[in-house]
Order: sequence, then C-alpha cells, then structure tokens
Amino acid sequence: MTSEQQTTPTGKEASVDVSDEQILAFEQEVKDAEARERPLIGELEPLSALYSEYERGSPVFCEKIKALDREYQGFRRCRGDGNCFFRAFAFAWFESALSGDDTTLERIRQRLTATKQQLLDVGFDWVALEDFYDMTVELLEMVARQRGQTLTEAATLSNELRLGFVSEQGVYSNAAVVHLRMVASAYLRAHADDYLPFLELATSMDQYCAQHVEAFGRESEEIHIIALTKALRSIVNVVYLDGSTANDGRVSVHPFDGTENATDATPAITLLYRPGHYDILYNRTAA
Amino acid sequence: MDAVSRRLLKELQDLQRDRASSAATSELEELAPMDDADLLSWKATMRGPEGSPYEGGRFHLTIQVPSNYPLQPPKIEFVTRVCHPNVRFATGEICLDILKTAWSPAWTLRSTCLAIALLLNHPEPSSPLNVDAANLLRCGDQLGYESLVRMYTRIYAMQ
Repeated sequence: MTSEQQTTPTGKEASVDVSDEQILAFEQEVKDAEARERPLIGELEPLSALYSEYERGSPVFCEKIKALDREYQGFRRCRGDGNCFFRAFAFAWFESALSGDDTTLERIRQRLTATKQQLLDVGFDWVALEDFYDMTVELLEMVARQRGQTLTEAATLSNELRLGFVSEQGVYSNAAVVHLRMVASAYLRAHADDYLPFLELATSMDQYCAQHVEAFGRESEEIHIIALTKALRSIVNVVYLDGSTANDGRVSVHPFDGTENATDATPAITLLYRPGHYDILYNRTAA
Repeated sequence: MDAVSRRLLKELQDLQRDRASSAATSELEELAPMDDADLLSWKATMRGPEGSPYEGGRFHLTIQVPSNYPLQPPKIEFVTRVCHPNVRFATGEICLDILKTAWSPAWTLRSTCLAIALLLNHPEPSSPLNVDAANLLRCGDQLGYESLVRMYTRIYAMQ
C-alpha cells in the first residue's frame, strides 16, 4: 500500500500516482454505499426471504436454504461492513442474555466485566479503550433494565436491543465491535506462542493483531472466532451456506466451543456464513 | 458530548496529568489542541531522537482528527521540513502503516506521535516517499545519508 514516487530532496516530483489516502477514501466510499442499503442489524426474517434471492441462481444454494428452513425459524441480516462477525456475535450474545434465565444474564454480564482485566493484562492503554468498554456494558444494561421491570416478551427485548444497535448511527454497536475486537486481540496476544505458528503472513502477533484483528472494518477469519469464543468462554456454531456439493449437498456446521467445562456454558450462538459474510440464525426451538 | 470529543478530552486530561513525568524523557515535547474551541485540530512538537542525525532539531507536526476517530486514524503531517525516506519532502506526508492500513483504535494521539518519533530513527527504505534519501540507505551509504539528514535538520529544524 505504498506509493513510490520520484521525489527529490528539493521536492520536485517526477510522477504522481494514487496516494494511500485516496485508496482508503475510496474503500470507505464502497463501505458507505453498502451502509446506505442495509441497517447494521436487521429484523428477524424467514428463510424464504433468503430463498427468493437465490431462486433464479444456484440450485445448490436453493436446496440448502430449503433444508435450513426446516431446521431454523429465521435469520437476521447484519451489514457487510467488515465488522459483521463481531456485530452479529455481540447482538446474538446479548440477545441470549436477555431472553435466557437470570443465571445466563448474570454469567454473560460477568464474562463481559471480566474482559476489562483481560485487556489490562496485555498492556493496552485504558484511556484508549475505556469508552468502548463502558458503551458495550451500557448497551447490554439498557435492555437488561427493561427486562427486570415487567413481563416483557423476548421479542420486544430483541427489538429494543436492535434499536440500541442501530440508533445514533450505531455508535453503541460500533463500540461493542471495537471492544470485542480488542478482547479477541488480547486473547491472541496472551496466547501468541500457541497461535503465531498458524499465521502464515504475520511476523509478530502484535503486528497481526493490530492489522487484522483490531482494525475496524477488517474482515474476520476463523482465528477471530476461536479467539473470541475462548476469551468469553462461549459457543458459536457457524452454518456454512456455500456452493459446495460435498457432504451430499447438506449444509455443514462448524462448532467453535470456547467453554472450559459444561457447567459454565452460556447458550450457543448460531451464525449463518455465506462466503465473506455472517448473519444470525435462529433455531426453531429457541424464542 | 459526542464520542470523538469525549475521547479527545480524555486524552487531553491524560496528557496534562502525565506532562511533568513524561516531558523530560520523551521525544514528544508538546502535544495539544491548536485552539481550545476545536478539539479536532492538534499540533505537536518533537525533538530529534538523541544519537540520530535528527538530534538537535525540533519538528512541528499538525494533526487532523476525523469525526469518527478513533475508528479511523488521525491525519498527521510534518510542518517542519524533514529529510526522511518515509516522509514526502515537499508536503510532510508520512508513510507509516499505523496511520493507514494498520491503524487500531487502541492507539492514542500520544502513542501515535511516539511511533512517528520512532520512525525517524528507524527508516523503512523499501517503501519510500523520499526516494533520494531511501536510495542512499539502499546502497548502504550510511555516512552520506546521515550527512544529508543532518544538513536538512540544521537548515530547517534548528532555527
């Protein structure tokens, strides 16, 4: 990403090309265009809505979506701005806290509070990170307060949570995205010896984390999911919806289990993965 | 108060609290908003690192903070002319990964400025904005490189 220019010490430029700033600005424009099309977190939709997108396309996808429809009651779209995994996780994790029993809520609250120490332990500057942490906690508590007041239905709480994620240009859910990115980064930094050998292009864990984990809008890979589920001791099931016909054309599910033992488990989160993008999936039994 | 102002105010308070303890040891001599009414424009002054050909120089920088900081990096440029492989001589534009693709919200304005001070002493000649300075290093002419830098430091950064 570096522009080589023939610049002499006297400032005469022999050629002019596209600067890094221009490239970044262009990338931002593409993301902004996407942003105008989709909310950060959408409403719960039936899988038939997804089916209609592929109806005239790949028959493999169509068959798989039909199979998903039998097993899952619906899905919730997340904006494809590079942060979809972290935002989808944050939403589904908080939603499970709100719709679960008091023990689940308390457990998720504790896991979230514990992340502060995890970030301090790897030496992050708290001045830079405390706003994100505070806003993430506030995002959960805004809705948790309503949960306690009356017999509010789970669907109402989910909708309140969604409003919290999208309101004020998404400033709260952006904070949650940054915070969870830092949590994943802190986990990888603390376990650098275990994970660095698997990172082909990384010269150091610090460099990898800054560039690929912490950077807002950078797409997630499996290592991000592994790090986040381990750090929060949570379970994410990723349902792969792709054009593969292996496995008799059935959708494959990849579990990421970060729990240490069965007793400290929080409800598993299910994400729908299409190449390059994550949305949230809902089981028929849940909700 | 919006998120960016809250964050910048916090950084400012942190700077003021640590000023006494860090000013003596750090290359960062000054880092402050240009004007109390506008927290999005800052200025910085750094001393050339000791033992480097920049020693004795004082370098001024301007910092423009975007409204979605710290999700996006600040735009930082040298105002004082500086001869360095990764700084465009004519404009002061800096080529440093953390100001572009490797930016992380964990950086503060202070830690970013310190990274720039570190860059002065650790040029990366393979991605130059000043090809002449970089070429001297690439051919291994350390003496020529340091003389050139020292000359420009004396001309522009020692008034």
